[in-house]
Amino acid sequence: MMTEDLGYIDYRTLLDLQDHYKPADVIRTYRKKIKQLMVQISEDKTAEDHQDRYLLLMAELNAAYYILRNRALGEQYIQEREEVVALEKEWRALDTADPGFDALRRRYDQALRSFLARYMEELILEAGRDPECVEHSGWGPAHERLAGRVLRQFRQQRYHEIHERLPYYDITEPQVDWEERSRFAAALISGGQHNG
Amino acid sequence: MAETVPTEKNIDYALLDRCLAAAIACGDIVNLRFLFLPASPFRRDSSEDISMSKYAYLLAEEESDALEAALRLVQQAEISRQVREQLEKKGPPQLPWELLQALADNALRLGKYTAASQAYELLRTRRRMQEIFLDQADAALDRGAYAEGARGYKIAAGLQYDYAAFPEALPAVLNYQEKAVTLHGKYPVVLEGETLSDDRALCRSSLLFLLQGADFIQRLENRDDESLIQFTAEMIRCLDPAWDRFVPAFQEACRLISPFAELFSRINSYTQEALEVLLEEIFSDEEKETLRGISQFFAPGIAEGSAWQLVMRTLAYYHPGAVSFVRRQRLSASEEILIPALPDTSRLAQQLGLFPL
Repeated sequence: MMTEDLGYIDYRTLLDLQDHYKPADVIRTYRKKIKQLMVQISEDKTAEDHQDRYLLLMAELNAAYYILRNRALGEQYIQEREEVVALEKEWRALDTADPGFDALRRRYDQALRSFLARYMEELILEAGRDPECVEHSGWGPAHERLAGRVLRQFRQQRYHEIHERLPYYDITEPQVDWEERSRFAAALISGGQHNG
Repeated sequence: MAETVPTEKNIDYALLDRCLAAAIACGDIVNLRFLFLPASPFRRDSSEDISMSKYAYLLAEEESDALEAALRLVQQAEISRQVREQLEKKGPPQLPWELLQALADNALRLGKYTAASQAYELLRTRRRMQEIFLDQADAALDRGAYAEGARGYKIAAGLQYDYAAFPEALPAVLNYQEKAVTLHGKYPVVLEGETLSDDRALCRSSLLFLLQGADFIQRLENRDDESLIQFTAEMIRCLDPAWDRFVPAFQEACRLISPFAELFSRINSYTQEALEVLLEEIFSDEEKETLRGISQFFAPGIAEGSAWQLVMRTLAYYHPGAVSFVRRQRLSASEEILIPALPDTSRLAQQLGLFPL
């Protein structure tokens, strides 16, 4: 399912901030949201089953606070986000036969990977070591150990989520017959062989 | 000195078709992609030569129906034209989607979930295919076909694998090394822990481990107890083809610990702190030696005295379903082993044939 931020995480939306937010808004909404999350986790009897999801929510809130409360870092994040969104639009507007299609795709892919790595993994882990985030979220070494795997998977999911709406470039556009796919699945799990 | 004139490289397209068909029939995405790389022996501007013995692996070892079907596919006029065009083209190739889908399907038939996931990911159908398998598996469970249901969930869980994020080989249960130990993270104070006293809870915790988290389990929440037990038993067997060979070893471990039940209860009545200052040892050296031997039933060949976490990881790799039927047991303040944990009345354990005869 496509997320509202089209795959490019929007930390401002996460903290319900307006475009021209003040650092005080960041602090206030972060504290309120992380407290709500802590209450939600403590009241959820199946919290352990949903460990990865809660860890991710906590990590995202920490990162939003860590990035946006610092004016320079926040502006850099917003600029890089806008750039990568603009590059996607520019590339999608090109015809696949355009000689610059592949070069622009590579440029966009590089920018996308770099954006996701920095803002959806590196800075999230860095935020977890920030004393204020540690104080409000209780983030510790055990969280960081788990987060390595969860964040890597999360980043990859976002990457694929974005890719799903882009033009096909490494394969021809599939014409999938979903009814045939269901028949294939049914035959496979019943132990039979279905050959399309 | 005579000038050497470069000769035009002749491409053997019949051989190319056979190599493509072999990769598709075997669900081998690495070989398929290699055939289109700049260094592919089928590229005119590549110095590689398909007749070299090092490329023998690109051809199928024997004829099969899957190979014939794949050959028919690659020989279709439109696909063949696309393939040749891509091999002549400079720059990254665009593979015909039909080849990828056929390869992914064959990979699934052969249980090569990593390759299938990669191919479906390129087709951008991986997540939808997972849903289809889960829907078909639920339909099978509705009509009481538990083995089919388990196969469907196994395939869907296999497609959960994200190659780009986890490039290592695929075990039966992803991230088993961490999850199996976490499952037993707290030392059980009473022999019949809360989890083990209730079959539904036991099934749930087993499935949580086997199917990677809560998302799949939610689909099974509304099943009645009997269906859940039957399904869990099938799931355990489905993920562990050697389960029936493991059962006698488990039963032997049960027999070995049965004389020690009273001593286990006694040592478990002490807290860790109390044990550290306790003057007398609960188990004699001889008894400890006997009990240490249990690890060989769970992880044959493991070094004697291995930590319980290592035994657990090995057990979880070879027999993932067994992690719900073992528990930690202290032998002293500084030593723990894994022992069988068999709930007296568990229908799940009965279904799995775990009770000693």
